[in-house]
Amino acid sequence: MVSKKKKNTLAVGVAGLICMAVILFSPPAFSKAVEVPIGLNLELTGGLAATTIPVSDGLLDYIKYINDEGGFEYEYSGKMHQAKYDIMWADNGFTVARSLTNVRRFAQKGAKLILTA
Amino acid sequence: MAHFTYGPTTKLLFDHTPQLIATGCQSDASRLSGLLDWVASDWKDKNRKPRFTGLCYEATTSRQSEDPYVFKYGEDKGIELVPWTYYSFSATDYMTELKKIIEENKVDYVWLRGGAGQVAAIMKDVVRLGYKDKAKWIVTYFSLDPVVVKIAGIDVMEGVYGLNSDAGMPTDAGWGVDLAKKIFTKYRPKGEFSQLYMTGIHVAMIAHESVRRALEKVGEPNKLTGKEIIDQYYTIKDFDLGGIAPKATINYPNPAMMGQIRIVQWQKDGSIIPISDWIDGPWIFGNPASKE
Repeated sequence: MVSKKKKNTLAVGVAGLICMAVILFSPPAFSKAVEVPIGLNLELTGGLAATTIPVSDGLLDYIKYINDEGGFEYEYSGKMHQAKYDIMWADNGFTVARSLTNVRRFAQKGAKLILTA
Repeated sequence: MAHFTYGPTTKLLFDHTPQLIATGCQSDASRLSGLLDWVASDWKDKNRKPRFTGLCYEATTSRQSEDPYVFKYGEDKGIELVPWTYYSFSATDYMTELKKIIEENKVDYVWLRGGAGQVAAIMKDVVRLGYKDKAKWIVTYFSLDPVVVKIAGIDVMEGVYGLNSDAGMPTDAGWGVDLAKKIFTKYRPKGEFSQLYMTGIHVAMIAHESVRRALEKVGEPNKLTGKEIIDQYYTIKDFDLGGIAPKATINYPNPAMMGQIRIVQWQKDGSIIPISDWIDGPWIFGNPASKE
């Protein structure tokens, strides 16, 4: 027979071991993923669309892929952080006027960078 | 805001400061200089100089390629450059331009600056007029795409050359190419993986690395500035892109992600494969040491 006191000690010990295992084998703790606003000024229509659609697709897909994989890591002040992109995109139709409109719109929405096809 | 574009370096970029634009590649003038290096090595007739010209759609970007630097560069390489011929952006027949280039100017190398649909239509006219073997036809960097064969047919395109820059070709090997193919399969299951798609991936990879480095400097997105992102862009040195493009080294104040060009050629099976090594194009626009 195991006494009640011994049972309690055993339970505490097991719980401690579980906690240690969780701490040891968990991925490093990140702060909540932050978002980088990004604007994609794409050429999906217009006179050179046969050329610019695949380029536009490549730009958009790579950024989407980073997000779909959970974002990306960066180190700051000795800690690892997690970030994702807040993606905005628009077609410029291979025209300067629409490109300007897109870029202004992205800027108003806080974009930190723009990718253009 | 920082701006990463697939387009080439132009003179206009340097009219505004701070210069927050990163370009996918160097100017056409730079890339044509690399192309002229290849022409000089390809030409075997010792009795006369090769003649080179451009056939371009009418646009300021095309006009910018006809730079005095290029003509001087060609002259120094023993190549006679013939002033470019321009066609309307909406042209559907190129007979007049092609007759002038081949029958009047007797050009040996013709650089075709046009979209995929345009160069396909031009090459169809080249074959129709019996000019395919009269010169070497070199399709520009932004039309090395499977759609050209779909429009023109492989009989027309087999043997045609291409000026490869901006990114490598789908036939290149490396983890970056494998990743690009994986991403393409995930999001574009019905399309065809192409050099132009790799170009978009290339620009996005470099832009992303610049953002990541900038975040490591400032800590959080709301402290990011365009200047910080571009400053970090210029810290990229010997950066492995896994075959998407040669290793990237960005040197301030040259805004181009890539300075090399390569010659490629259409094969009978429709693939486009490199037939030269990467050739460094000189940095021209924005170079304090350049006399342009």
